[in-house]
Amino acid sequence: MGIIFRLDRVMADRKVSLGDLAARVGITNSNLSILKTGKAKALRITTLEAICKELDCQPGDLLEYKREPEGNTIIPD
Amino acid sequence: MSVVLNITWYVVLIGAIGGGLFLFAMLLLPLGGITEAVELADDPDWQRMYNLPLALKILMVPYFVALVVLLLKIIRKSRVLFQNFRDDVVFRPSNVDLIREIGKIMIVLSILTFHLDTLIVSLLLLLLCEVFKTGTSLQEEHDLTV
Repeated sequence: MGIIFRLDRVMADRKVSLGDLAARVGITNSNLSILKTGKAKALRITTLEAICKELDCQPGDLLEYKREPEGNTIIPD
Repeated sequence: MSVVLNITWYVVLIGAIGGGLFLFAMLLLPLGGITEAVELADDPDWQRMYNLPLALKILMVPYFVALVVLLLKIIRKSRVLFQNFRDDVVFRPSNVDLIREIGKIMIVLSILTFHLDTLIVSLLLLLLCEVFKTGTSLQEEHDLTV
Protein backbone atom coordinates (compact mmCIF):
# COMPACT_ATOMS: atom_id res chain seq x y z
CA MET A 1 0.00 0.00 0.00
CA GLY A 2 2.51 2.75 1.14
CA ILE A 3 1.68 6.42 1.28
CA ILE A 4 -1.94 7.29 0.51
CA PHE A 5 -2.65 10.85 -0.58
CA ARG A 6 -6.00 12.09 0.74
CA LEU A 7 -6.14 15.21 -1.46
CA ASP A 8 -9.60 14.36 -2.85
CA ARG A 9 -11.13 14.26 0.61
CA VAL A 10 -9.64 17.57 1.74
CA MET A 11 -10.50 19.27 -1.58
CA ALA A 12 -14.12 18.09 -1.26
CA ASP A 13 -14.28 19.38 2.35
CA ARG A 14 -12.98 22.79 1.29
CA LYS A 15 -15.04 22.74 -1.92
CA VAL A 16 -11.99 23.47 -4.10
CA SER A 17 -11.68 22.23 -7.67
CA LEU A 18 -8.54 20.68 -9.14
CA GLY A 19 -7.93 23.51 -11.59
CA ASP A 20 -8.47 26.15 -8.94
CA LEU A 21 -6.10 24.49 -6.49
CA ALA A 22 -3.45 23.93 -9.18
CA ALA A 23 -3.54 27.64 -10.11
CA ARG A 24 -3.29 28.73 -6.47
CA VAL A 25 -0.48 26.31 -5.65
CA GLY A 26 1.42 27.19 -8.83
CA ILE A 27 1.63 23.78 -10.48
CA THR A 28 -0.01 22.44 -13.61
CA ASN A 29 -3.32 20.58 -13.65
CA SER A 30 -1.55 17.48 -14.92
CA ASN A 31 0.96 17.52 -12.05
CA LEU A 32 -1.79 17.88 -9.48
CA SER A 33 -3.68 15.11 -11.24
CA ILE A 34 -0.55 12.90 -11.02
CA LEU A 35 -0.55 13.54 -7.29
CA LYS A 36 -4.27 12.93 -6.94
CA THR A 37 -4.17 9.63 -8.86
CA GLY A 38 -1.20 8.33 -6.93
CA LYS A 39 1.26 8.17 -9.82
CA ALA A 40 3.71 10.62 -8.25
CA LYS A 41 7.07 9.24 -7.21
CA ALA A 42 8.16 12.25 -5.15
CA LEU A 43 6.61 15.32 -3.59
CA ARG A 44 8.55 18.52 -3.00
CA ILE A 45 8.30 20.08 0.44
CA THR A 46 7.51 23.41 -1.21
CA THR A 47 4.55 21.86 -3.06
CA LEU A 48 3.24 20.20 0.11
CA GLU A 49 3.63 23.51 1.94
CA ALA A 50 1.74 25.38 -0.78
CA ILE A 51 -1.11 22.82 -0.79
CA CYS A 52 -1.42 22.97 3.00
CA LYS A 53 -1.44 26.75 2.87
CA GLU A 54 -4.18 26.89 0.21
CA LEU A 55 -6.33 24.18 1.79
CA ASP A 56 -5.62 25.39 5.32
CA CYS A 57 -4.74 21.93 6.58
CA GLN A 58 -1.86 19.94 8.06
CA PRO A 59 0.40 17.57 6.10
CA GLY A 60 -1.03 14.76 8.18
CA ASP A 61 -4.50 15.57 6.83
CA LEU A 62 -3.22 14.89 3.33
CA LEU A 63 -0.89 11.93 3.87
CA GLU A 64 -1.58 8.54 5.34
CA TYR A 65 0.71 5.54 5.58
CA LYS A 66 -0.42 1.94 5.24
CA ARG A 67 2.15 -0.83 5.59
CA GLU A 68 3.21 -2.54 2.34
CA PRO A 69 5.56 -5.48 1.79
CA GLU A 70 7.95 -3.56 -0.52
CA GLY A 71 8.17 -0.41 -2.68
CA ASN A 72 7.47 3.14 -1.72
CA THR A 73 4.72 4.70 -3.81
CA ILE A 74 2.11 7.33 -3.17
CA ILE A 75 -1.28 5.80 -3.91
CA PRO A 76 -4.62 7.51 -4.33
CA ASP A 77 -7.43 7.77 -1.84
CA MET B 1 20.41 14.36 -39.14
CA SER B 2 17.27 12.31 -39.66
CA VAL B 3 16.91 13.85 -43.15
CA VAL B 4 20.49 12.83 -43.98
CA LEU B 5 19.81 9.31 -42.71
CA ASN B 6 16.58 9.19 -44.69
CA ILE B 7 18.45 10.02 -47.89
CA THR B 8 21.28 7.61 -46.97
CA TRP B 9 18.74 4.79 -46.56
CA TYR B 10 17.46 5.26 -50.09
CA VAL B 11 20.98 5.68 -51.50
CA VAL B 12 22.14 2.46 -49.84
CA LEU B 13 19.02 0.62 -51.01
CA ILE B 14 19.34 1.77 -54.62
CA GLY B 15 23.11 1.24 -54.55
CA ALA B 16 22.66 -2.27 -53.15
CA ILE B 17 20.09 -3.19 -55.78
CA GLY B 18 22.21 -1.75 -58.58
CA GLY B 19 25.45 -3.18 -57.23
CA GLY B 20 23.82 -6.53 -56.62
CA LEU B 21 22.49 -6.73 -60.16
CA PHE B 22 25.91 -5.75 -61.52
CA LEU B 23 27.71 -8.34 -59.39
CA PHE B 24 25.13 -10.96 -60.35
CA ALA B 25 25.75 -10.24 -64.01
CA MET B 26 29.53 -10.18 -63.62
CA LEU B 27 29.88 -13.33 -61.55
CA LEU B 28 27.20 -15.59 -62.87
CA LEU B 29 26.88 -14.69 -66.51
CA PRO B 30 29.61 -15.25 -69.08
CA LEU B 31 30.09 -11.60 -69.98
CA GLY B 32 33.81 -11.55 -70.63
CA GLY B 33 33.57 -8.49 -72.82
CA ILE B 34 31.94 -6.37 -70.11
CA THR B 35 34.48 -7.57 -67.54
CA GLU B 36 37.24 -6.29 -69.76
CA ALA B 37 35.35 -3.09 -70.41
CA VAL B 38 35.24 -2.24 -66.70
CA GLU B 39 38.93 -3.18 -66.41
CA LEU B 40 38.40 -6.04 -64.01
CA ALA B 41 39.94 -8.77 -66.18
CA ASP B 42 43.47 -8.16 -64.79
CA ASP B 43 42.41 -7.86 -61.15
CA PRO B 44 43.58 -10.98 -59.27
CA ASP B 45 40.82 -10.75 -56.64
CA TRP B 46 38.23 -10.44 -59.34
CA GLN B 47 39.71 -13.42 -61.20
CA ARG B 48 39.63 -15.48 -58.01
CA MET B 49 35.99 -14.57 -57.41
CA TYR B 50 35.03 -15.19 -61.05
CA ASN B 51 36.66 -18.62 -61.02
CA LEU B 52 34.85 -19.82 -57.89
CA PRO B 53 32.46 -22.77 -58.26
CA LEU B 54 28.90 -21.75 -59.10
CA ALA B 55 27.56 -23.01 -55.75
CA LEU B 56 29.89 -20.71 -53.85
CA LYS B 57 29.01 -17.78 -56.10
CA ILE B 58 25.34 -18.40 -55.37
CA LEU B 59 26.08 -18.53 -51.61
CA MET B 60 27.59 -15.06 -51.82
CA VAL B 61 24.17 -13.64 -52.72
CA PRO B 62 22.48 -14.25 -49.34
CA TYR B 63 25.64 -13.05 -47.61
CA PHE B 64 25.55 -9.69 -49.35
CA VAL B 65 21.78 -9.47 -48.98
CA ALA B 66 22.21 -10.01 -45.22
CA LEU B 67 24.86 -7.26 -45.06
CA VAL B 68 22.64 -4.82 -46.93
CA VAL B 69 19.57 -5.67 -44.81
CA LEU B 70 21.54 -5.19 -41.59
CA LEU B 71 22.93 -1.88 -42.83
CA LEU B 72 19.47 -0.65 -43.82
CA LYS B 73 18.11 -1.67 -40.39
CA ILE B 74 20.87 0.30 -38.67
CA ILE B 75 20.16 3.38 -40.78
CA ARG B 76 16.39 3.14 -40.22
CA LYS B 77 16.70 2.75 -36.46
CA SER B 78 19.25 5.58 -36.27
CA ARG B 79 16.82 7.75 -38.23
CA VAL B 80 14.04 7.09 -35.72
CA LEU B 81 16.46 7.76 -32.85
CA PHE B 82 17.56 11.13 -34.21
CA GLN B 83 13.96 12.04 -34.95
CA ASN B 84 13.13 11.36 -31.31
CA PHE B 85 16.05 13.51 -30.16
CA ARG B 86 14.85 16.30 -32.43
CA ASP B 87 11.37 16.04 -30.85
CA ASP B 88 12.93 16.32 -27.36
CA VAL B 89 12.20 12.69 -26.59
CA VAL B 90 15.59 11.70 -25.19
CA PHE B 91 15.48 9.54 -22.08
CA ARG B 92 12.61 7.20 -22.93
CA PRO B 93 12.39 3.39 -22.96
CA SER B 94 11.83 3.43 -26.73
CA ASN B 95 15.24 5.07 -27.28
CA VAL B 96 16.91 2.59 -24.95
CA ASP B 97 15.46 -0.24 -27.05
CA LEU B 98 16.58 1.42 -30.29
CA ILE B 99 20.17 1.84 -29.11
CA ARG B 100 20.26 -1.73 -27.85
CA GLU B 101 18.94 -3.08 -31.16
CA ILE B 102 21.47 -1.04 -33.15
CA GLY B 103 24.24 -2.39 -30.94
CA LYS B 104 23.12 -5.99 -31.42
CA ILE B 105 22.82 -5.57 -35.20
CA MET B 106 26.34 -4.13 -35.28
CA ILE B 107 27.66 -7.16 -33.39
CA VAL B 108 26.19 -9.41 -36.07
CA LEU B 109 27.63 -7.13 -38.76
CA SER B 110 31.08 -7.24 -37.17
CA ILE B 111 30.98 -11.04 -37.12
CA LEU B 112 29.92 -11.21 -40.77
CA THR B 113 32.53 -8.72 -41.94
CA PHE B 114 35.31 -9.68 -39.49
CA HIS B 115 35.75 -6.06 -38.48
CA LEU B 116 37.03 -5.49 -34.96
CA ASP B 117 36.27 -1.76 -35.04
CA THR B 118 32.59 -2.48 -35.72
CA LEU B 119 32.57 -4.80 -32.71
CA ILE B 120 34.12 -2.08 -30.53
CA VAL B 121 31.52 0.45 -31.69
CA SER B 122 28.72 -2.01 -30.95
CA LEU B 123 30.07 -2.58 -27.43
CA LEU B 124 30.22 1.18 -26.90
CA LEU B 125 26.60 1.42 -28.05
CA LEU B 126 25.56 -1.25 -25.56
CA LEU B 127 27.38 0.73 -22.88
CA LEU B 128 25.53 3.85 -23.99
CA CYS B 129 22.31 1.85 -23.71
CA GLU B 130 23.00 1.31 -20.00
CA VAL B 131 23.63 5.03 -19.55
CA PHE B 132 20.34 5.81 -21.28
CA LYS B 133 18.56 3.28 -19.05
CA THR B 134 19.72 5.15 -15.98
CA GLY B 135 18.83 8.44 -17.61
CA THR B 136 15.36 7.12 -18.40
CA SER B 137 14.69 6.15 -14.80
CA LEU B 138 15.95 9.56 -13.62
CA GLN B 139 13.75 11.27 -16.21
CA GLU B 140 10.73 9.29 -15.07
CA GLU B 141 11.42 10.22 -11.46
CA HIS B 142 11.78 13.86 -12.46
CA ASP B 143 8.55 13.78 -14.50
CA LEU B 144 6.66 12.23 -11.60
CA THR B 145 7.99 14.64 -9.00
CA VAL B 146 5.36 17.20 -8.09
